[in-house]
Amino acid sequence: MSPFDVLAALKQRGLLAEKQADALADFERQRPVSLHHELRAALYVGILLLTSGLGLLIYEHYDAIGDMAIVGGMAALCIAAFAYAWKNRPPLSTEQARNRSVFGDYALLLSCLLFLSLEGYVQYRFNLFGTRYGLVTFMPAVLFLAIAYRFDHRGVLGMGLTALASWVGVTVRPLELRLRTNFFDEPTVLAAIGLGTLLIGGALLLEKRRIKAHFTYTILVFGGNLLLLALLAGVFNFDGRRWLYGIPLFAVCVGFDWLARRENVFLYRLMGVVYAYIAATYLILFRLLDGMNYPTEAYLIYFVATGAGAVYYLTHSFRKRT
Amino acid sequence: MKAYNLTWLEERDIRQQADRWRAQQALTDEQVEQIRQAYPVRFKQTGTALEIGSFVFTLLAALALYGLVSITLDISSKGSGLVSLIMAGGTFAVAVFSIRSNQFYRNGIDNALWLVSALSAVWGLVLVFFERNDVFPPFWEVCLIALPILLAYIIYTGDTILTYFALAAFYGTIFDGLLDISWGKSALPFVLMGASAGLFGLVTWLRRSTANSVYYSDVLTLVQWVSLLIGMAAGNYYIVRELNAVLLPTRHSSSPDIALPGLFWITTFAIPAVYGVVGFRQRNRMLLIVAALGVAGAIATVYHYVGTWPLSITLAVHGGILIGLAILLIRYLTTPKNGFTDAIDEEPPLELLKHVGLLTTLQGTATAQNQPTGPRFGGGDFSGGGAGDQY
Repeated sequence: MSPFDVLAALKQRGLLAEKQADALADFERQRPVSLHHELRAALYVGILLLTSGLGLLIYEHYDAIGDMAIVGGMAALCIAAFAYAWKNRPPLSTEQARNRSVFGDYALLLSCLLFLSLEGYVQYRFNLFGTRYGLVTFMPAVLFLAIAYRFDHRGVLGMGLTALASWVGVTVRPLELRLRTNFFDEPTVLAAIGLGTLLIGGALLLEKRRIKAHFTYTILVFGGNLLLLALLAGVFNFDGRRWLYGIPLFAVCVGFDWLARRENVFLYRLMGVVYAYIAATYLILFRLLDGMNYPTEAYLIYFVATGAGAVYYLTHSFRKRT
Repeated sequence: MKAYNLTWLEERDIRQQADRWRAQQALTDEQVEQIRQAYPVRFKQTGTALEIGSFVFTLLAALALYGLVSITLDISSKGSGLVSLIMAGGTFAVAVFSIRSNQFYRNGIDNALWLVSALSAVWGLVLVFFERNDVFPPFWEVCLIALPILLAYIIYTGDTILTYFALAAFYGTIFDGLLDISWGKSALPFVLMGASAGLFGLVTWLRRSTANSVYYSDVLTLVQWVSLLIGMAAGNYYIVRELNAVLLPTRHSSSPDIALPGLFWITTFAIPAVYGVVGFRQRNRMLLIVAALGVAGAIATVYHYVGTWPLSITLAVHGGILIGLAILLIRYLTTPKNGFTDAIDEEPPLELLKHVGLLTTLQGTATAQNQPTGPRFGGGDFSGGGAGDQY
């Protein structure tokens, strides 16, 4: 319905006085079109283009341009962007705090992305960290997490968490949470479980202390997916110890479901249901029933019944608060 | 005939608009509370994450059911049109029943059931066709069979996922159908541009003239987006040339030039430019976004064929330019200009309110309305603000 239809309906029901409705209609007619989100999207795309261009440039042309020019230029840009962000930094607070400038958040993002390119370059050219590869990912992780909390920046928080995950050996792409390293290596799986648990524990503790409580969601989703994926990998890959991974997995799923109810966050419940469903289906069909020895109908009935059950649980267990 | 209650949808729209006005401080909290009581939420609300989950699990259950029905009823196991049609009818009935008994509206379950039902119906008819003639119909005929069925489902449900399929069927018919004709390939870009323009015009007209445009609002918007994008892409030199090369019977190391290159170079720039100008004049956000994408595509096309810079420098330079442009525009639009602003829609537009004294009017009348005598329509003599002569 157009705003004018709404006004007509409200007037008809006597919920709005004639004069106020007219004023609102004038307001709607005169209201400028907001390009807020479009312009920020353009800014974000510009930053991604610039940093990926510079990231490519150093590998394509480092001999032609010269090390000093590359390192100097990128470092200067990185420092300038950071200085701008620091100048406009939000007040030190445990609550949500906004940057004092419109562009501060973007300058910070640019600075952090440039830092990553720069770090990659000095490691590639000068082998700065030697074979201590862990340091290459651990350093930005710690740095970014600290910056994220100081500047109240969720994007940098995500970058820090990603770096932390790759430090323990899991390459997780931000946004898509796609795992590239294989989870067939048990130490990696255990490290991911450890990190996931630590992140969830940390997030819950910080929320209790009311320190940047709005970060809880990001950390819990990231840590929860990491932990549950690692446990699922354990269920799939390590014969003889499947239940050792399976039982904690179900416990974590129940935990997320409980959290979903407490915090009224639907994604937690979805995570719990999806991971538990995959693990349960795998364990029931391939472990308890030992393969596909039953008639096809039996498996199809299983999926019809469990699918319908999952849907019923998802839609009927609790309602959105309005 | 509609799957969902139109009045409930209108009520939902009224609530949403009232919430927006409250966020803009154009309505008082008491007024919004009154509106909320007058228009309660009647649909079941479950939230995006649960809707996605419900969609996936419903799809899983429905597909397993489809398999179960098939292996039970279809003895020949060659694929039976009748079984698919039974499945389509069954899921349709389940969808209607569950919507009526649960007040669903796009809760994932209904979306998945519509999808399975519509696609089973299409597939069933294709199989019936196949069983009759013993030849599988070409792709454009499949699309042509699908289109009316999908349209009927969309008219009944107003579903956006089905709209994607209907658009694919529409463009699939044109694309694959033309390739079967000798002159079809060279006419393809022009027919696609023309069809997109026609579709856009039709949908824009429908939005204005249909009494039920509330019900189809999302569908119409989606068709507008897609027709604008495809109409623009069909005139882009890169897309025409590379698509032409893909469709050639022989492979070439680099794509050969096309007929009328000059014309397509013009459309590469002209179509986004026209979108941009019209979008600016009409203050149409959709046209402006598509125009911006088109300009980016046009620049990329130029670099692809005549550019000499390496990729890294191209990316960095254009990233820098884009950042600069965005910063300039954000600065420029801090105060509204030419009907555009950088303010967020859901925040009070302070500039506007300050300048036209609207806030006083709104608050004044709101207070007057809350007087114990109550509002009198027509003969009211509220004294708040005096907006009339300021405009």
